[in-house]
Amino acid sequence: MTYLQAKYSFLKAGLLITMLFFWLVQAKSQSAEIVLNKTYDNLPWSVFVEKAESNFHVRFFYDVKSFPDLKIVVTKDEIPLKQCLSENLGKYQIKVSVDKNGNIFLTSENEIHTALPADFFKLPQNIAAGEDTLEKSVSDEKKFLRTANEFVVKTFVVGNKKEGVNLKKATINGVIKNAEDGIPVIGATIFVKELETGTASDNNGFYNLTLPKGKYSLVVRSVDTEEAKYKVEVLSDGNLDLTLESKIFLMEEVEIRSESRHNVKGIQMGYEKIAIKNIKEIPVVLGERDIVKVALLLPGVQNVGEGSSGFNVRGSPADQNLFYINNIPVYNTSHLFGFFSAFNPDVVNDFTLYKSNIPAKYGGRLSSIFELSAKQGNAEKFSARGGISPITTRLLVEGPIVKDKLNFLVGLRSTYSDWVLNFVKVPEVKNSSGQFGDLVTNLSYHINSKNQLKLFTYYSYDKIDLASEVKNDYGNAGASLSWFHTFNNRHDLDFTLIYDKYNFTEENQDYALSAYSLAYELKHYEASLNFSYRLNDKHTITYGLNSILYDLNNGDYLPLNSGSLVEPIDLGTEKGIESGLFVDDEWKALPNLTLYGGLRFNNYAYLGPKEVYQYQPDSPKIPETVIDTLNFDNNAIIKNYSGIDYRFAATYLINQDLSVKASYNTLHQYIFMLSNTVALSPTDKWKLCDYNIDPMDGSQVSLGVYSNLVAGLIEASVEGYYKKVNKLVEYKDGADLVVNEFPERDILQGELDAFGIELMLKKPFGKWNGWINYTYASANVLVDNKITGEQNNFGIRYPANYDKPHSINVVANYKVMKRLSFSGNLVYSTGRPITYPTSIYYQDGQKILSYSLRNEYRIPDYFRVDVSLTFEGNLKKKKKVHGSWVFSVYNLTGRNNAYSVYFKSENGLINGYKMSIFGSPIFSVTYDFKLGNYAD
Amino acid sequence: MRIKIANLVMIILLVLVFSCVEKYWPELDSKYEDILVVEGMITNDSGPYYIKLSLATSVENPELIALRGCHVKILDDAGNSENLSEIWAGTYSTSPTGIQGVVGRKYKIQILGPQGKNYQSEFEELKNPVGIDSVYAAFETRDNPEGQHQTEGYQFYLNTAMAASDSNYFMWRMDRTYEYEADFKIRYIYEGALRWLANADSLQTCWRTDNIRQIFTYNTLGLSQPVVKNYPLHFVSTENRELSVRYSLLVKQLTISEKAYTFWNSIKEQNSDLDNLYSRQPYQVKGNVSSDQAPDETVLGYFLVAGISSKRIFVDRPMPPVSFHYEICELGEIDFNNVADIYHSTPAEWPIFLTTGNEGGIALPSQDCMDCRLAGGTIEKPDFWIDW
Repeated sequence: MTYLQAKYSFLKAGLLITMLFFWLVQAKSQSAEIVLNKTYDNLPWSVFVEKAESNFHVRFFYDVKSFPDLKIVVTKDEIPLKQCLSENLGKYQIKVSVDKNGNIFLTSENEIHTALPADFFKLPQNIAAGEDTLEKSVSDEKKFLRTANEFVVKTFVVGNKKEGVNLKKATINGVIKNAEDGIPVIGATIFVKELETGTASDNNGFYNLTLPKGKYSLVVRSVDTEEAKYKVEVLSDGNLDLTLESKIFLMEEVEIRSESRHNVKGIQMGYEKIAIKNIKEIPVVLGERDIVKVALLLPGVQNVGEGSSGFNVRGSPADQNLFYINNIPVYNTSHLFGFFSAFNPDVVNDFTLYKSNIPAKYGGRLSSIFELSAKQGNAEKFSARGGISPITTRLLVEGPIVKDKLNFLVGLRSTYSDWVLNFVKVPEVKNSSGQFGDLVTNLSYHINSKNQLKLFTYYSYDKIDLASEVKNDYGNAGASLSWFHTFNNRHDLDFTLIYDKYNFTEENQDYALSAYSLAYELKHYEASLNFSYRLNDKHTITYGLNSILYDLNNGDYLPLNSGSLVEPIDLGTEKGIESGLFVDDEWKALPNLTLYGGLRFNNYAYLGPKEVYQYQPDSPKIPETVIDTLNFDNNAIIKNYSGIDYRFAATYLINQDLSVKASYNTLHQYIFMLSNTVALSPTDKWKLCDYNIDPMDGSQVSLGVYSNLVAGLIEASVEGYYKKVNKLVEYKDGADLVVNEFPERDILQGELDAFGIELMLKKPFGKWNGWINYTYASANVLVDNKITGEQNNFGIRYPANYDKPHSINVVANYKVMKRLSFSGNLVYSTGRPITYPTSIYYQDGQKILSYSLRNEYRIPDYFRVDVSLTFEGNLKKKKKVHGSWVFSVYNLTGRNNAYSVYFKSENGLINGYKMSIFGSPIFSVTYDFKLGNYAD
Repeated sequence: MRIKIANLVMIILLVLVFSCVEKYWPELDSKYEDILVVEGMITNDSGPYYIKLSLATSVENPELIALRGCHVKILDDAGNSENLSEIWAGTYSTSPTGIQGVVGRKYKIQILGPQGKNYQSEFEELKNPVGIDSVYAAFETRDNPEGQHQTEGYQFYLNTAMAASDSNYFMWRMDRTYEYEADFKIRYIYEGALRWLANADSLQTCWRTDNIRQIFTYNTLGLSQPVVKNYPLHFVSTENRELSVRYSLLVKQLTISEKAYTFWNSIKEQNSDLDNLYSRQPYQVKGNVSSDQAPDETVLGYFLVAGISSKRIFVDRPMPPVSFHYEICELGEIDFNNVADIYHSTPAEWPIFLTTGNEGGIALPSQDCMDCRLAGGTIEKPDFWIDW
């Protein structure tokens, strides 16, 4: 009944919020004439431009860098735009000229140059190819405008008239590069103003656009570069490389500038992309900046408790997320039991999280994809950066081996945290140690404009010794080799070979009689082939296939020494092949309607050699119900499972700043984690679905409203979802999963139901930026097998361990001065569910605790505020080393948030205790340095 | 085993990050109180056998609420049965000449509750008891995180005899008995008048017996032979008077069913002190008794059917340089000055014991310095006691 109540209040809250949301959107003015009203008064220049450009058919061309920092003053309502500009800009000697097409040129009243300095603008390399190459011919038209000493606009001509004579449309493609180091810019967006369409560069910086022949203005944007505007005349198919300049924060510039239009117009839902540059100031615990943990500040992402590993995305268990770092899947993403993520923050460029509409090229996990993309390496010059925090030191070195051809990157991080433990008087702690480190390397080889090779490796390790009684070592080691090839300007492929290994060893001499050692190893071999084909400007089709060979060794359970009576148990090996064949199409069906459809055919084969037990059908899997033992030879198919994933999504634009999106996804999962503790532990094993354990399948439907408010300054969204997982793997009460020869006997497969609504308000850029979100969520599990009669919690539905109905996250960054920025965040959530002891009884004179139903109660609510201050070194352009200091305080209010509530028998009485991990404000200092100036 | 690792992890996390622990009491539903609790066992030892019935209470105010007026019956699979009689509140007993546990037979219990509800357990076999090969004590030193010194004492270990079958489930229960002395002899006694006492050491030596309130379980499933070697049982330290004279441990080894083992092992793991994110989730442990009318009703406790074998071991006060850390009575000036207080005492406080100092003066120290019974023992030497 509580379940139904929750669902009802969820609907009510959703309705209310949606209404409020629409009201906000309607409030926005929609004027059609170029007459300004008072709402433009007192706007900062950049905001003014954004607003004017989005409301009227005008475009501003001016020198961003030397333009004065001013606020527009609108003296009266209904003032013509040009008059207003002249009034405001006259005192800066800036001349305003407006042409028939609505282009507004703002030039210094000095002499207007008609040409650029020869070396000013890096021309695309293939200009030299001249007119005899068919598909590429780019020439400059002598249409330059120049202010004091800077570029304003010029027009590129793509293709030639002769070739395009019979064509209505043409395709242009190329690479978007960083102007300074030539590194391809991933995820840059190109917006065609006239058509109000656009595209984005892919993982290798490539973009592709199909347009009717004609003249266009392109606006190219990326998260961490200046916006660039290009005038292009498209005559026929051709190549055009675009460059973007890194932001130099000399002016009081915006800091986070994401694809502001994307939020509303893109097909993606439940999608988050965060660049490390933008979270630089977010406060951190113990001085370790942790990009992955920032995910916890996003709506719909939870974990069990602070300092624990794993993420719970939209009510799913942690093993339903797939983590990639440059195509390498990472099977254990945390250091030191989850206190830190296993990724060096210097190496990571950004991460992308898909939580509702997962593209068809991904498969194998039900809940989400975390895709971390590492830096590519500087192709132009050698550079280094690093940092020191109380726990670790970091170093990253990158540079060209052959300039513009072959470049490398090496990133290293290592702890020296043991000294902290030595301060502790408790002998068990003093004798303990915890060490970790990680290493990332990347080698990029730009063979030619059509071929690129990349070799990426990732390694992480942890060595934990708990009072010499328990030793845990674990690590990931992986490599990926990618070949990117362009067939022609519409068609390209991405072929990747991946190897990854996750292993751990445990030595336990807690009890000498059963001192044991245990080793586990998972090997992942994968080949993946992805094609991308732009059929025309309406259809983008991707298709491909991938195949993964899992090779698991559950290890030997061995006596650790001669005093141990442990009988060696070979826990056996497992093998399986998971393959996927996919095709999807993003179709711009109407100017305001985009549809996405994807199909993924999954096949999973569990392979020999293996001896498997066959149990009586429809009865519990216990030794007594074994009816046969089947033996399978090497690579014989023991059991084959297949399933089709459907991925559908639609975006309907109500107007340029408001859209409704919907998606429906089904997914399959063939590997899961054996874990029945509340938080993941480093000895939890991944296990393949097998003869007796069925694959899990899930589906999710989401519906959302997306809007840009206040001239695109604020992005707002409301997204609701309902998710169901069948065959969810759960465990019998008290099951021992560490040494378990027959996991199927301890596994019960149930179902998971989750639903929620996520509200997000985000100000992506400006002096003040950040976001606020609220999530209402519910996740509960039912294990009640009517056929075998097996149940968990007596067949009653129970909340998942990470079910936290209400959560609010606030992230705020404020650039106080050029070299000083402030950042703070606030986190609130309902306490996680817990099973409490509810009564006491006696047996043999001893007091025994009896517990409630599973997760019937909740620990107290969680609330935390963190702040940090970042001081940058001086901003001189010519300097050898740039340093910065980050001072941060975690849990500023010192609130004793409950990590756990437990009970202890003391002097014959049971006492309850609440434990907090971070029970007081924690101050830390981090020093970061890099070669070059602030902007490098 | 897993629990201890979890505790270690927790301690390290605690200390690493300035954590803190404070008293906290959650609001709990009272619906879990007043649940029927069954306790008792039948073994191959001769009867009488006792069944105790009680009601569960709240965690905050634990007490034993005996459940009176039930009808309790023990049955075996050979058709024998006996109705138990309530010998005192909530404790029901077979008669000494009544039903006897026989190895290989199956037993169950039936209860007719006060509200007319029927409860019963399933038949469980009385297992052939595995013998105890030896119990020995080893003097060991432990780190003591809180104290200034290391803790010393005897750790008891057990070796079982080779079992006949491969899978054996064990549970151990222990009774300890220790001899101890009051620090002073009684020289005078006051019962309205002060008398000199001839039998000065009559209340000086006591023996105290109680059961060890710890759960010990183990099984031989993962072992190469069906034998348990060097299994650590109880640890007794020099922090109190238990080892001050002579100490005896009676180990009762119960060979039990897998179901009973699962029950007790679950209880053992759940009752460990720290609950945290790395230990298995706690859960409601139902016993082997259920209601006929409402099978979903929670009934706590277990009616145990066990093969039993036992062994007793004695250890003496460890020799120097072992140090003891219990408090000893010493006579101070105030004890001599207090003597006059006896004339202000009431008959309810009599008899009052007094002793003498080294110079012969009468002193009135705390009564437990002279009367060993006040520390929980009796002055009757147990029958099994063997002096060294």
